[in-house]
Amino acid sequence: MHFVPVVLTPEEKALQSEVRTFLAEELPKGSYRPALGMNAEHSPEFSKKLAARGWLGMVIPPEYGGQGRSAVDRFIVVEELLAAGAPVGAHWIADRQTAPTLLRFGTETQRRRFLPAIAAGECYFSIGMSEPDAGSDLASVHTTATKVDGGWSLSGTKIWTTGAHRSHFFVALCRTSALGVDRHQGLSQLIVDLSSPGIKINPILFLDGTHDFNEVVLEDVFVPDDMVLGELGMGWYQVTSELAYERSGPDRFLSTWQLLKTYLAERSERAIKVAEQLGGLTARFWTIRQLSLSVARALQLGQSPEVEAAIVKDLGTTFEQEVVAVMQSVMEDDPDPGSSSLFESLLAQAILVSPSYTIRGGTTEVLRSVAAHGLMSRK
Amino acid sequence: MSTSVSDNGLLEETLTRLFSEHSDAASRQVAESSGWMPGCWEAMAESGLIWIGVPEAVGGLGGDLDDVCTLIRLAGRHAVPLPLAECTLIGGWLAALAGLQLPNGPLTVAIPRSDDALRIEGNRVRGRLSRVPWANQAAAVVAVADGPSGPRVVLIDPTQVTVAAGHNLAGEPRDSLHLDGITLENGQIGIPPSDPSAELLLRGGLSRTLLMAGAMETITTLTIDYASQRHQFGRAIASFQAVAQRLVQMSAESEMAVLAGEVAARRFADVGVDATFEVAAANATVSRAASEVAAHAHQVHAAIGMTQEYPLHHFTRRLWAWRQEWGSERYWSEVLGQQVVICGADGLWANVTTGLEED
Repeated sequence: MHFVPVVLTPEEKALQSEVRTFLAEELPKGSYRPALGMNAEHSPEFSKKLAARGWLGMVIPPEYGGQGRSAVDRFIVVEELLAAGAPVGAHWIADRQTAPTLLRFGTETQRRRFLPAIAAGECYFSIGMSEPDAGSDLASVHTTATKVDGGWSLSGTKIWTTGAHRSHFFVALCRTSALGVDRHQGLSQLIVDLSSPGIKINPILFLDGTHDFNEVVLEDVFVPDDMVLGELGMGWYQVTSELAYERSGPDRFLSTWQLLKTYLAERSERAIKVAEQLGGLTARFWTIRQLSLSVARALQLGQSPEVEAAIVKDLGTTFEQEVVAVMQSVMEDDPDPGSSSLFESLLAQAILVSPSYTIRGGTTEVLRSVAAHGLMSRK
Repeated sequence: MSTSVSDNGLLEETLTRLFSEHSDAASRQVAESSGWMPGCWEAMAESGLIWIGVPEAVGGLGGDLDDVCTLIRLAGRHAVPLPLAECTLIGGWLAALAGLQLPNGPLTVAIPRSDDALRIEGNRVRGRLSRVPWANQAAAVVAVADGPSGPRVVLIDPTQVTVAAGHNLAGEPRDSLHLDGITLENGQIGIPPSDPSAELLLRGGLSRTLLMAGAMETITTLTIDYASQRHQFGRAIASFQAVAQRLVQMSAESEMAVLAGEVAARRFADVGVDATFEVAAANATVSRAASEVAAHAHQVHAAIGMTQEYPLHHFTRRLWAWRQEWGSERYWSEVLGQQVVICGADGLWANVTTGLEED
C-alpha cells in the first residue's frame, strides 16, 4: 500500500479557482442552508447549472456527452461543491457511481442512452443493492428476475434506497439464475425505470424525520433485455468494483466540514480558547484530504487502489464523526435542531445523522476486512 | 507531470545499504549502553553524507531538502541512534545560516525550551540548555543565544562546560549543559540574517515528523510479518478478524504519517516558514499516529514485543520519545489551531486545500 503525494498542475489549480468563483456567485452566503456533504438538497436546477459548466459527468468521454476529464479534476470540483454544502442531491449518485459503472460495463446502447443525460444533469439514478436480508452480505439478495419474452420479470424488495422517490432509474442487483454452489454466480444488474408498472416506493423516514430512504417493492416489473447492465451473470463482479469507485472521494471526509466553518463564523471570539481542538481536527482533515487526492490521482493513472480506497473511507468517515464529537464538546451545551444559529442546527442534524457515515457505502468492519485481505495478499 | 516526491532513489539505496549494515538490532543494543554507534558514524562521515543538504561554503556536502528529508526518514526506518537530523536539517542549517564552519565531528542542536535561557554579552555566554541530543558525544552544540543587539547563533564546545548526562525513553543521550559564563572565540559566534527561531522550530518539528514516519513504516512491516507467521489455535493470528482489524488500522495510521510527512517536507522545501500550517498539521497527525501505531504493534506482538531481545522496542520507544520532542501533538495542534482561527470561516478552506503545486 502506498500513497503518492499529489502535485496539482496549474490547470488543476485554475479549475479550483473557477469553481470557487462560480459558487460565490451561485450560492452567496446566507442564501441557502448548507448541506452536510452528499446528503444534500435535490435541485435539478442547480444540477443543470453544473452541467452547463461541464462539471457533471466529468470523466465521461465527449462521445457520450461528457468532458473526458480526469479523476483529479472531478475531485477538485466535487470537493468544492461539498465544502460549500451545495445542493448536489439530484445528480449525486448518477454522477459518482452510475456513470463510471456504465462506462466500464454498460453496452453501447446503454452508454448512448444514459451518459449524455447524466452529463446534462437530467437523469438521476438510485442504487438498488441492499435488501431486508442482504446488507453487507450482498450475495444473498433474494430479488429475482425471471426470463420472459423480450426481457425479464423482476420481483423482490430493495431497501435503504436513497432518493428512489425522485430518481428516474435505479440499478437493481438481482438473481438471474438459480442459486448454485457458488453464490456469487448468477447475479446480474438491471437498469429499472422507476416509473414502471409494478413498482411501489414507500418512504422510510430517517430518525430525524427526514425522507431520503425508501423501500422499493417490485412485483413482476418488466425490464427489457437491453436494460441488463453489462453482462448477464456478472453482477457480483460489477457491483464489487462499483463499490470501489464509491469509496474514497471527498464525500467521505467532508460531511461535517460545515460544522467547523460555521463555528468559526459564529463564535470567532471563543474559537481561540479551543484552538488546540480545532487544530487537531484540521490536521487530520488536511492529511485525509491528501490521502483521498492521492487515490484520485492513482485512478487517473489507471491503477486500482482498492485497499487504499477502503482505508481512506474508513479514516474519512471516522473523522467525520470525530468532528461531530469535538464540536459538541467545545459547544458545551445541547444544540436545538430548530436553532436560528446555523452552527447549532447543523450540529444537531449532524449528531443525529452521523452514525450513518460509517455504515453507508460499506460498514467500517466490512471495509477493514476488505483492506486486511488486500494487505495480506500483497505481502 | 511530477507525481512522485522522491526521485532520489540512488541516495535512498545507498543509505538503506549503509544503515542495514551498521544499524542492525545488535549494534543498536550496544549503542544504547555506549551512547554512540561508531561504525555507522564513521561510514556516514567518510562518505560525507553526514553533512548532506548543508552548504559547501561552511564545509557541508550540498544537496537539497528532498535529500535531507530522505536521510531523516530512513534514519527513522532504521532507528539510527545518531544525531543525523541535528547535523543536517536542524543544526547544520542553523550553523550555515550564521556562516559558522561545521565542526570536525558530530554537531548537535539545542531544542528551545521555555525553561532554558541562553544569554550572550560580548563573547561571554551563560545559561542552560536541557536535554540536548548526544551533547556528550558531540564536537559542538549549536544554539540561539539572546544578546543586547539581537539573537546570535553560537557553537559551544561541550568539553568547556558542565554536562549532566540524561537519556530519552529509547536510551539515547539527552544531556543538559550548564554554561557559567564561558568565553567564545570569533568563529563560534555568528549573526543570523534574521531571527531564526521560527524556522528552527519548524525544522525541528519536521525532523521528528519524518523520523516517526520512518519508524512507523518498520513497525508496520514487523507487525504484519509477525502476525502472518505466528500461529495460535491452528492458524496465523492475522487471520482472526479482531487482529486483522488492528493491522488495518495500524497500516492506515502509518501510511497517513508517511504521506503527511512527505507533503509537509515538500511544502517546506517550496515555501520555507510559510509552510507552518502544513508542518504543524503533519506533526500533529504523525504524533497521534505514533501513539496508535505503537499501541497496535505491541498488542499484536503480545509478550515477545515486550522483550529486549525482540527489536520492536527500538522503534516504539523512539516514537514515544520523538512525539514529545520539538513540540508535542498538543503543541502543534495549538499552533495550527491559532492559524485556523486567524484564517477564520472564510479563509480556512483555501489554506487546507493549498497542497502542492507545480512551480
